[in-house]
Amino acid sequence: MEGVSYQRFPKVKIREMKDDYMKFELRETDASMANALRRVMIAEVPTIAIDLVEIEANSSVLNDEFIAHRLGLIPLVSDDAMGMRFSRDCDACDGDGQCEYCSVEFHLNVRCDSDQTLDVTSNDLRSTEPRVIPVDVATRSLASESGGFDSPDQRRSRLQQMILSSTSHGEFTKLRVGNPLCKCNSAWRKDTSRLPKSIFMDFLIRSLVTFIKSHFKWIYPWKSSSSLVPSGIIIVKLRRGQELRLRAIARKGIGKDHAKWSPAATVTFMYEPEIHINEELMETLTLDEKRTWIESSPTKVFDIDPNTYQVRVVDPEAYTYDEEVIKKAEAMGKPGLVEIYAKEDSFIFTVESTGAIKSYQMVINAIEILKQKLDAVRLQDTVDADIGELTQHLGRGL
Amino acid sequence: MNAPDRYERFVVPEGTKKVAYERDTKIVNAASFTIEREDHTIGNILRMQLHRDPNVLFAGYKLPHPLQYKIIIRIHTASQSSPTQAYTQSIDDLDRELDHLKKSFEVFNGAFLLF
Repeated sequence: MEGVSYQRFPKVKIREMKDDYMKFELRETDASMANALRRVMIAEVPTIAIDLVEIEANSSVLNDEFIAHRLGLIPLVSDDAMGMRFSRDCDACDGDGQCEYCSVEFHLNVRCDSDQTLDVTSNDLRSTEPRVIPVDVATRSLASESGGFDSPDQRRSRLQQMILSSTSHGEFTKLRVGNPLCKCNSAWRKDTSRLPKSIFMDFLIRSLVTFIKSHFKWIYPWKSSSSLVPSGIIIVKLRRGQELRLRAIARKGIGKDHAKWSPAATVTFMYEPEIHINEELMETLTLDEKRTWIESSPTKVFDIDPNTYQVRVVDPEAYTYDEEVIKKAEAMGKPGLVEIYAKEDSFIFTVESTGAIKSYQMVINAIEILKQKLDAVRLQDTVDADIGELTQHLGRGL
Repeated sequence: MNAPDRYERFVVPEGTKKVAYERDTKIVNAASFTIEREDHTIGNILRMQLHRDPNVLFAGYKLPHPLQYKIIIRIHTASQSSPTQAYTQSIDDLDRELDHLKKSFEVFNGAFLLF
């Protein structure tokens, strides 16, 4: 008594694909499958993130827990996460979760010895495994490799730093941020006479920097926002004499455990809308009426053909299922002017990644994880179930 | 303080079965499957797949309580099938659907990189 298959054969069309963004169509399957994929991508695709932090020295303004939490949120390149072991099922280390199969060690050792505030960033994290490094560090090293010598953006940031260090701006921030609170208060009061000048200088520098930024963008229009933040993810800021020394263990995990392990920035899907305009009824409208009707939609779904003055659908996917146009048609006394259905078997997915895993790999991994989950829920002891069936048949026979 | 560990949500405790099968005592060809440490992700796709099987008279799932990390799938079938058969069949079908989906992605990705 072998069952017949009721399998579906979904169709896929990738519309757009970048490292951290992907848009695709999924057809001929149902919402439960689309939603399962979405849920798995958000909560069950594994990545690597810092999980255990041993602080050796911390004289910064932030407390140990605060820093440990911030370290955990730094996305790490997790291409190897699928092949890695969870520390809890690792036999190589006796459950302490600190071996090469299930963890990566990081070291951070920074001390500020200058009068300038020192930013401790993801750049300062030293990994023991070159394949597992902070995502922003990896992308930057990739960019500089392909760029050869100084890229325009690097030159720009260097120029910014030169300007900032040659003025009193550093002093100003030190007064506000660097000093311990009590000392700061007195210095602050003493220096109130200087305050307006400092703010003015600050303003001047900021406008100069913005000017340079826009100026350089004009010269190099192909280089845009990607490297406007050149320094890495800031963990903490140090003033003279403060230091931060720590050892951090990164482990494999899933978003269900803690959101820091989620590779997804956003994953959404929508039903593909199907829009039918009742042309006959539409022709009973004047041009002005057509215009007001089109304007009732909060998104630009319809417009007027400049030649024939007919209403046409320009972008069905811009429709947000708000039903404003339907309500408007009713208010105008023309119910049934437009009919809009959601195609229940086709979905448009938008996937954005944190960078830990490339968007395409995230989808593939989600499919793989979902398969593993299904395999795990198969009836293990068929004997037990068969006995159940047997007694059932016997019972019926009697 | 008394919060349950976060891993409680997805690690099956030792000594518990992932799937437990329990036959209905009153109705023939009706049974419920208790699946430990699973949620709507699995529950909903299984339910919808079971609905595609014409021999399945009833299929539903419930998450009894948000803090009890298990789902219960209840299946009632016609006499020519059985709940275990329908259950296994739907898992097989979903598995093959995902295989197909993965292949389609890979084929499309290959084409995407070419052009």
